[in-house]
Amino acid sequence: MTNIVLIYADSRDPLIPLLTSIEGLKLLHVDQISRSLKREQWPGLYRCAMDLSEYRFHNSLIFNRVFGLENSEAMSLLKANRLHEGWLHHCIDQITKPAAKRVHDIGQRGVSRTLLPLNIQWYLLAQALPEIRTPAFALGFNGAMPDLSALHPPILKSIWSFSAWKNETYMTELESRWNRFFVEAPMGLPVIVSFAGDKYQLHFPKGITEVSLEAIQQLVTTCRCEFKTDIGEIITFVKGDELTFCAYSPYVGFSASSPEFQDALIAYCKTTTSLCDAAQLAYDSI
Amino acid sequence: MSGDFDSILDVLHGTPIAPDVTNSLLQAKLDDIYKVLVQALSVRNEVSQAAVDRFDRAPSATQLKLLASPEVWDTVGVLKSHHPPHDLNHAHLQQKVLLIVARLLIAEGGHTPDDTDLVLSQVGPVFVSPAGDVAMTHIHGNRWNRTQMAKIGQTIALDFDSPLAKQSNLTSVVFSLPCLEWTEGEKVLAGKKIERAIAYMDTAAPQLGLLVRNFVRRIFLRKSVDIHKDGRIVGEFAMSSEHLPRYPGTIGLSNPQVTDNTVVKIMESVLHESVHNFLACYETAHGHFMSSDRAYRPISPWSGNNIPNHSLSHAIFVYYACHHLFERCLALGVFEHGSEAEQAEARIGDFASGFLIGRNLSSLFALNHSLNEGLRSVIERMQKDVINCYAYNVYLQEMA
Repeated sequence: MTNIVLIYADSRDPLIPLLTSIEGLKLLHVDQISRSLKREQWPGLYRCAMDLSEYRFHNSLIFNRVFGLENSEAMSLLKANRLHEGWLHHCIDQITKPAAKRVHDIGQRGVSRTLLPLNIQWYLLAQALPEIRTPAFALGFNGAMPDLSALHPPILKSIWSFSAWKNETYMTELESRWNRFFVEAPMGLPVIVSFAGDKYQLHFPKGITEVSLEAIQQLVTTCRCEFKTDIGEIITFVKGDELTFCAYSPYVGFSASSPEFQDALIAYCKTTTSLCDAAQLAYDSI
Repeated sequence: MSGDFDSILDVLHGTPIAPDVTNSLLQAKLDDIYKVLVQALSVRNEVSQAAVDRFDRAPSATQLKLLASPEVWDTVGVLKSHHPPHDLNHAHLQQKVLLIVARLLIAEGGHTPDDTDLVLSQVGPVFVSPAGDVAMTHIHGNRWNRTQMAKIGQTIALDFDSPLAKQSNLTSVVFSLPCLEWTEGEKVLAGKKIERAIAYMDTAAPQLGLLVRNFVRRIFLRKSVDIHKDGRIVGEFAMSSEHLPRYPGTIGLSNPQVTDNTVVKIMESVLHESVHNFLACYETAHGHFMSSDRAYRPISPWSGNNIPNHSLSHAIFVYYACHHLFERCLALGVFEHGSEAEQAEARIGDFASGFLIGRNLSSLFALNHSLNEGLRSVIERMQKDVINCYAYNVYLQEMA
């Protein structure tokens, strides 16, 4: 029977209460991993010695939800051990390698393909779907103001902000003064596409609008492939026939309360574990 | 993009072909500087003709010093930006080229009274030579007193006080800092620390000490902070370093005299910027690694910042070189103090972390053209080299 493991950092992650209803789910907080990291003398660098037997990573389904280390003691432990954050993600990569399926890509922000900045997301989508529409943008460099003449209207954004498309609510000083990122405010009404596996649901926070289901399906398939993920939300804007892809987000803050999304999540777990079980049986019979 | 990217690793590892590779890159750079200089002086008036003639008559060793001079580059850069050719300002700037030639000839000893008159009227009785290696003080008539400037590694001039060293430039992480006066004691301390850093490099990875010497001829030093015994801090504390494309063959370092700017940190900074200089020479000879478009910026696995693709490509080579140096230093036990080894152990983990990201580093690029296959192959090779250092380090204990 395929094991399901949730590795997480933020206890407020809305996916957690949805997953903990699954029987036999194992939870592993990133602090447990970081506490077990010990610095060693050269030529060693770190040692991660923890009892992993209860997790049975081999052939498991892993929900790796370590997207940042805020609200965890992991970051301070890493600093105390003089370890770059990359080492923690390297450790997670190593311990989850035997898994049958990892729901998200591994790595720190910007390295994990599940958590990429906006303009890189647009770059990858445009490579895969040349006809897709993405927001026009202008990016400054070293404090210089970029040319905003092509943006109607321009809004100052953080490259990491997936949900705010009117006025940015939070930005670091580096972002607001140094490499300023301006985006053309998307036209039309927002349509949020939440998906778990190949099942998706549409949400209309500002009013219902017509949208091409074929285009949505193509977008979900492409996002799963490009961003190495099976769960998440896609933020789009629709005006008439024009659909603008704005962001993929692994955070499910908008859709977690949706019964349809919850059902899709449970169905995804069942389907995926069944496939893993079947694959393991086939392997064992060889 | 021509060129064999593997030759970059040849220089970093000091293989038998490294000297030939280095010579060809340096020659290409000098040829390029000469072309730019002649082009900048292409307006045919009396001043420009005099400058070109003077240059052509100088001994070849003197010509090389001139071409490698940051002051020449500073002036040529300004020359290039001025139009039209009959602009009086242009003639004034060409005069500056003559002035630089004159200063160099005074420092070399092959000058004329006209050179002395030109320098005295335009600069004054004291100046630093364009190579930054000699300070000249006017005595009388055509006679000057020469004082050798501080050097480290036998060839690299330390420039504390020249007009270029003291410039203010808000786009520079070194030259944007406040400029405080160095004491003689601080200059000696800074020199000793940088010398020790080079010595560690020479012991652990001599080919990297050679790289530094070949691609850095002058280090600009900026003191921006005074930390008094009573705890008062005057100025701005920063430990920054910079490679300066505007002045080929130079790097900038801030506050090496400060205790927190340790020999290990200085060693890393000097190598870091030297590798940038080396790569810049490589690109002069063979073309840029990739487009310098900055619209789509990948995230550096080292800093977490979004940086241009081109900067990421350089960063991979820089951190590979730093990792190699630190690995050699630790493996050979070169450090004299335990605290230095501890610093190096902490820092090498940072270098390594970017190579252990679980996917090919080349997949991070977001380019509007295909990645050069030679570059992709070399990046993969570097990544494998670093990963192999740690394959046996990751110890995971799965208890039955």
